[in-house]
Amino acid sequence: MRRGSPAPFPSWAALVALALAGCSGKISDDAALAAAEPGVGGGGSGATPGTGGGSEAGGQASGKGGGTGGGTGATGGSSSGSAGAGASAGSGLSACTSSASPGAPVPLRRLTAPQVERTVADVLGVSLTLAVEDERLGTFRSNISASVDAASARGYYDFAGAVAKTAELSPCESDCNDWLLDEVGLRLFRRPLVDAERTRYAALYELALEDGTTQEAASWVVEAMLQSPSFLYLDEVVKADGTLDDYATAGRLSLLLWGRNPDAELLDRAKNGELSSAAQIEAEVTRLLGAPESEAGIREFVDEWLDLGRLDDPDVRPDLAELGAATVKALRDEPVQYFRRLLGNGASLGELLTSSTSVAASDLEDVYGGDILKTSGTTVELDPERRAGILSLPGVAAALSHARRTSPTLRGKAVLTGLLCTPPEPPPANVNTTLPEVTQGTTVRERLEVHMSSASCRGCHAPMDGLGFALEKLDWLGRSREEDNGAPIDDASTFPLGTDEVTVTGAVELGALLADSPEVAGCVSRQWLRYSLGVTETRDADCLVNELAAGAQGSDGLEQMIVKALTSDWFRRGPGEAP
Amino acid sequence: MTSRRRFLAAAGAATSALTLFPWLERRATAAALPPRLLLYYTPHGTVWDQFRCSGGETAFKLSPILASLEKHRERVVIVDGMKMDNGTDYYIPHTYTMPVLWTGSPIDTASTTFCRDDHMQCFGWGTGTSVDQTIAERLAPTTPYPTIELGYQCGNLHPAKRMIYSSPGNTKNPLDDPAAAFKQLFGGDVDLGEAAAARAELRRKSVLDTALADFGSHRAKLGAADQARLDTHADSIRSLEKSLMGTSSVCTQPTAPTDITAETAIDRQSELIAGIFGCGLTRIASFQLRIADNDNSLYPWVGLDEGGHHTLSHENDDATFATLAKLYTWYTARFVYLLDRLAATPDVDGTSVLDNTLVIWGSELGTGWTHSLDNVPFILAGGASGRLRGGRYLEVTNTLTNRVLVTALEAMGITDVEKYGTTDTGSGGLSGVLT
Repeated sequence: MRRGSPAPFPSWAALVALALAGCSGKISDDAALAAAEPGVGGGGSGATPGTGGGSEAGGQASGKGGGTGGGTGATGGSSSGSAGAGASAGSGLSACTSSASPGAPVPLRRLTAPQVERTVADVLGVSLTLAVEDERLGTFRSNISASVDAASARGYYDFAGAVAKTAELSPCESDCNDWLLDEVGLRLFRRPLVDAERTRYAALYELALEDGTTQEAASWVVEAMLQSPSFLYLDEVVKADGTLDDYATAGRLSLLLWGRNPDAELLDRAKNGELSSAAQIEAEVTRLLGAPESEAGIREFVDEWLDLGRLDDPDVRPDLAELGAATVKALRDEPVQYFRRLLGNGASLGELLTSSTSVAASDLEDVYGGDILKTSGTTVELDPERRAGILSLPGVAAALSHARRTSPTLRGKAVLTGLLCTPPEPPPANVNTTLPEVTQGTTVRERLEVHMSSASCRGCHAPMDGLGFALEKLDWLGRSREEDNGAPIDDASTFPLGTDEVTVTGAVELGALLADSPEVAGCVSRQWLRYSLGVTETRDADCLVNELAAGAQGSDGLEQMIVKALTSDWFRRGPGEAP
Repeated sequence: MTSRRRFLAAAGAATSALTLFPWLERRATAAALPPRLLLYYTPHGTVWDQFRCSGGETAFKLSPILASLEKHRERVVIVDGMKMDNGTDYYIPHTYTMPVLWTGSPIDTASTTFCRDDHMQCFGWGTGTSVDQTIAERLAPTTPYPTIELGYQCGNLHPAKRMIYSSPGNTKNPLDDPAAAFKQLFGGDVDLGEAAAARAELRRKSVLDTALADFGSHRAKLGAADQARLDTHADSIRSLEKSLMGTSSVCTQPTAPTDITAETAIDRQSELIAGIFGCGLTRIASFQLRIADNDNSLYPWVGLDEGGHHTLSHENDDATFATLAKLYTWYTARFVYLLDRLAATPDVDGTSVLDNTLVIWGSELGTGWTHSLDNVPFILAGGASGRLRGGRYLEVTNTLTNRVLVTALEAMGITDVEKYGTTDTGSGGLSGVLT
């Protein structure tokens, strides 16, 4: 067994630092340069460093994070391309050249199970569960690497059969071949059927019709279409300029923002060539975000970003069942509705981390207790001394807990990972993993501090646990508390942020600090980009990230962060392998 | 309406069951029954203090954790001292060795498909093929399924949650729900009349063939890796098509499982495994209990009702070790139940399925507490068609877990492989285990 020193790794902290270091097209900071160097075996592949200079976006962002970038970047050291989210870009020494970068090569993507389920409900009027697992990119669903094996093929087979049995096929009381090909096929495949497909499905229909009804024939066709790769995979065609054609654009936009295939209106726009320019796409993104169906897309992002699925996982939270399904559902739902409300209000990223206004949910009244000051219509005003920002919502606090006990470690790790993109350092080589004897403390914090008395563990746990302590006045169910196990809670929290070590007390101060942090703005922008693209962004995306971050934190707000990501070349580029 | 079962029985009057199910004929007429292989996994190693047996190779006294194995004592070999080589410079505990367990090859650290923020490392899938799949490929079995993968709560697609690799980077998903596994393996069309069964067959074939033909009509330009994914998907549909042809009704097939809870599900899967082997659905199978990183399940019936299995392994007080030992004792009881079921299932030559099976029980590390790979517990069990020299406690040194993989190959009749997996620096099978 070998347990040598950790492989050189392109520190994500350094990548963030780079993102924030501005887009002047020239990096003079030694530390940042070191972090940007592809190094031995890196993904550079001889690509010519860009010469584009700063973009408008870069100009906006460059003043914000330069100082931070240098210091944080120093931890990056040299980076080997062998392992690292950002190492495959092939962009040479330049961290970024312009936000109009060609974008990441996107592997062939297969629809996620929720996307399949929603599409089938839309097109065929049947709501059933698809028993096929999705891969995860970080916490986001994204089927980009694994193959469909026999068990998954069986999952699709069973699903298609069950849907075909109960599908809404009313046009098929008489001959409906054209309806199947022109409407059902179009909606399922996100593009008109090609000639060979039309011939094949018409033949299947005719075969079934020899001994059956038109309804039965239609169900055969539906069963086949639901197992077709043309439905299950994004069959994306690019135009001469390398951007997606209009049907592929429609598919991506809808799957992302609505969590399902495009509706007839969007497909009509694609047919008419109305999704070809950034301005046209922007108009469409605005329409899609404004529609109620956008709840599904925003839900996927927020739910997976904050790992809220833990609430429904009996393995990690066997204790929640006794609360009843309605309460668990409300816990999981509130952060999504909170995010949507801010999005609709044109709110900035800062408000996401500081707002004390949430959406009313009667099933959460017991959890909130006295923390609800006022209910007005569909919104509630929460006690701003205790509840401010999405991290202070009960669903988030509960999801990031263990059964019947809080976990400052989980909470801190979620913030470091999902909001700061600066996860803790790896343990040193040859670390003695034997922790000192646990002496029973009174509070969770005391117990964890005993663990942190060991120097070899502190490196990993100090930032995670330290951050998490700020949230200790929210218990394992997200209820406010002043005491843990009968002892008063100390929620002072110390952790590294950029080059500084900062100390805050409690969830409200933590939210305020994060709201003003350029690191947080950059990281949330990255998370949105990862969710949108289904792949880890490369360094080529740094300028775009800067642009999104500056906007999200400033007057543009969260909605413009989404619009700008989806009108960028990054989003509009087609599938393929690395150049 | 004639049920499918009765239809088969009626058909059997004119044509024998052996004509309908030729693999049974091959089994019935073979001179010596070929052995079967079952790979069995439980997470996070063991507590060695209470796992280790004393008394020597044959006179050993079973430890507290292993005590319930006594009735199968003569059919087990317990191995103490096997090292695993994770094969990479950096080691993310659990995650990096789950792919190594049955493949003997390291995880892909050049890939960025998965990233662990806390370790600042990215990685992909395993770089090897698991030994069961290699055996299936070599033997080209004529059973309805080349291999069958079962499990319980194996989670989503992640290198820490899959252990069977059909090729580098390609894992097989276990059927990890007893009800779904039963439906797939034993729940063919039932209660259909002859005409309806024929129509269902036509529908199935026509529908799947239509979907398959679409694999040729995509318009996007794809890279080689993406094209390979599509090809694998199409192959999966083809093997699904084959496997959907009725396979049951001519042996004592298991009944649909009921009483499926976290406490009983493993036993339900063990019953299915006995049925799978007894009915000749495959000769090569595996069972994966939960996940390698990190199993935080609770096992309240053994007193593990707080924190979770993995979380607990980060504490090293005596009370914690006692709780973990109870859990591992319970694992042994599940393993014994599996052996009981295999022993109670008759084989076609009048012996039991257990007599003709080699079961190998392993884990992704030795001790959860230290993440040590220096002593990974392995137990080999069953008759292996008369070849396993059971009743022994083997203490070994400087022996890589790859030796077990070569032993599996040897037991299955493949004797020209000396090394297995790219981490292998030794050669041959475990010395003295097989006759």
